[in-house]
Amino acid sequence: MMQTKSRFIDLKHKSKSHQLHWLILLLPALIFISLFVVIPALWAMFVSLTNQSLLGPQSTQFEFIGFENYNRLFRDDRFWNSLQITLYFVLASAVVGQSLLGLFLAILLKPAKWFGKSIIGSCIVFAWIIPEIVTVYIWASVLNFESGSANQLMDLLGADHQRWLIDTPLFSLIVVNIWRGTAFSMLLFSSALESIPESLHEAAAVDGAGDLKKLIYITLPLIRQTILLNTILVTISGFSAFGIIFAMTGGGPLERSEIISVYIYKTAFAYRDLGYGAAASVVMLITNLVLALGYLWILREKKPYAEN
Amino acid sequence: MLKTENNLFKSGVKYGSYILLLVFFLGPISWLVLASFDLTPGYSWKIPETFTLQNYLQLLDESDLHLWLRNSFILGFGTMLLTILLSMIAAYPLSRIHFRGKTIFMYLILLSRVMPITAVIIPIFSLAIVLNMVNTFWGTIIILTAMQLPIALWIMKDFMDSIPEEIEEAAWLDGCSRWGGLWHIIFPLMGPPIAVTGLLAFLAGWGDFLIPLILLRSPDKFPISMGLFRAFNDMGNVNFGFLTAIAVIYSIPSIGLYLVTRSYLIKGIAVN
Repeated sequence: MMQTKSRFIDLKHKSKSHQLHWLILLLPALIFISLFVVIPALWAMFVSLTNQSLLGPQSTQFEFIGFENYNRLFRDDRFWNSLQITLYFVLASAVVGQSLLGLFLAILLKPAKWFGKSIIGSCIVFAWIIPEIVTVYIWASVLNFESGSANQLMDLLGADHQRWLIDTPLFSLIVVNIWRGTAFSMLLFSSALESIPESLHEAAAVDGAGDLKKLIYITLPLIRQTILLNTILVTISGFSAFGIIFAMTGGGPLERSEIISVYIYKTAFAYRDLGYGAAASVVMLITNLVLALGYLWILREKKPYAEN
Repeated sequence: MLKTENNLFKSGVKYGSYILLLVFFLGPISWLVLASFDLTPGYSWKIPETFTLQNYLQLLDESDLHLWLRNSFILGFGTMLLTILLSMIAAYPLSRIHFRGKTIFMYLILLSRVMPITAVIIPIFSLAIVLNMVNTFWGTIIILTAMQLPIALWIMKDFMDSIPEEIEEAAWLDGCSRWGGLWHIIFPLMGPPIAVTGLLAFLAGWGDFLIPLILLRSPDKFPISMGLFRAFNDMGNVNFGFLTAIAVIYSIPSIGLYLVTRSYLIKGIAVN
């Protein structure tokens, strides 16, 4: 039945090969993505093999120097330091902080019968949607050493004032990034939780399963795809976090919060060493790609299971 | 007996978490809002002794504000409309037409976003010079849109996949052309993904800092982020009233658009 119907339609709407002209609708999007996302990435790869600089004669008359930038990079302690800091940052803020807190919140705030819950949920989303520069301004004030509200809270708890951005810069930035990013994971998980039929939980309750058991044996396996997808997206955005770190600490003090995007920015714009900065970008790109492909591979493997 | 105690403990944990959440998420925002209505604002969190609109009135006198607002709206809505339009029409062939390598193509699109913005900002700027896009709104909007498109394509395609083809086929049998079916049947059902991609694109166009910073050079094209940034960097005198008021005004459209689209949001983040 279906077969004949679709054959009839195929006839009506030209042959299958003729359908391909619909691909033209893809064209505008594809041109934009190629021009401003793909070509710049390829360009960065090319520049990483040269000694191009941002200004001066070497900005136009640069030479091809092979893998010299990479050689230099792998012997650069500051690069390794920033790579390490980036890993801490991504692990703590994106993977553990945003994802776990986001999942916890999605579960905690799920049945929004109580009005208070949707208010709390909205506040969390507000933290995500306000412009980044506003976040920077708010948190720079909250973490102010002399009289910021974080230290007011320490007073209230009877603890000493902390120099948040000087003594514990990375920790502070991780907290700010969790504050800003959690809502995204929360929304993603909420939409996944919506799709779980209530009857499954009820059936488990009849069998005497407690909340924790329901979570481990029903909820988590059913949303594992979302967990993976969230991990990919949150990892990528963690690696490319820039504005908050750059504006709040500038990577300092003494490179103690210099994540790799800030390192790249400084290399290219402050030290004007485009080729070298591009080499660092390519290393970061490859790290990101490997991670993303790893996640995608896991996602693919589990697909038949999660489709139930 | 044990059960009531258990329940008591549970609700204790629950309400305890609610309070912690409110302190963590609302605390910083409430400082901003309270300080903007305070006659003597400072770093500390406090309820103003006298509420005042003076900070906002002072801001209105600032001749550049309406200009910044207008420019930011152009960027926000421009990016939003272009992203919705391009991703919606592109989603159709991705969802309905079968061609070889489609899955790989979709993943390539997603992976194209893994390059950190700091790494590509220089080539983007060089391209902008070549294409005459420097100091133009359209150029800035196109670049902001290009960065939104990969995610937008995924969201649109995912949702379109969930619309049964039979609906469309029924329209064809009634004599509707394929384009007509797309226009009259499919697009009207796309509310949730339009809301999500629209919100994300607006937030990017409205809130992005780096792209406008490098592309928009003349002061009459500056968006609010630049105004805030310049006031913020004016370290000599920290004008709390001005800064907090402008930060609040800057945040209102984003929050407003979220409140309008929120009922679609959970439905629109299609996950499969």
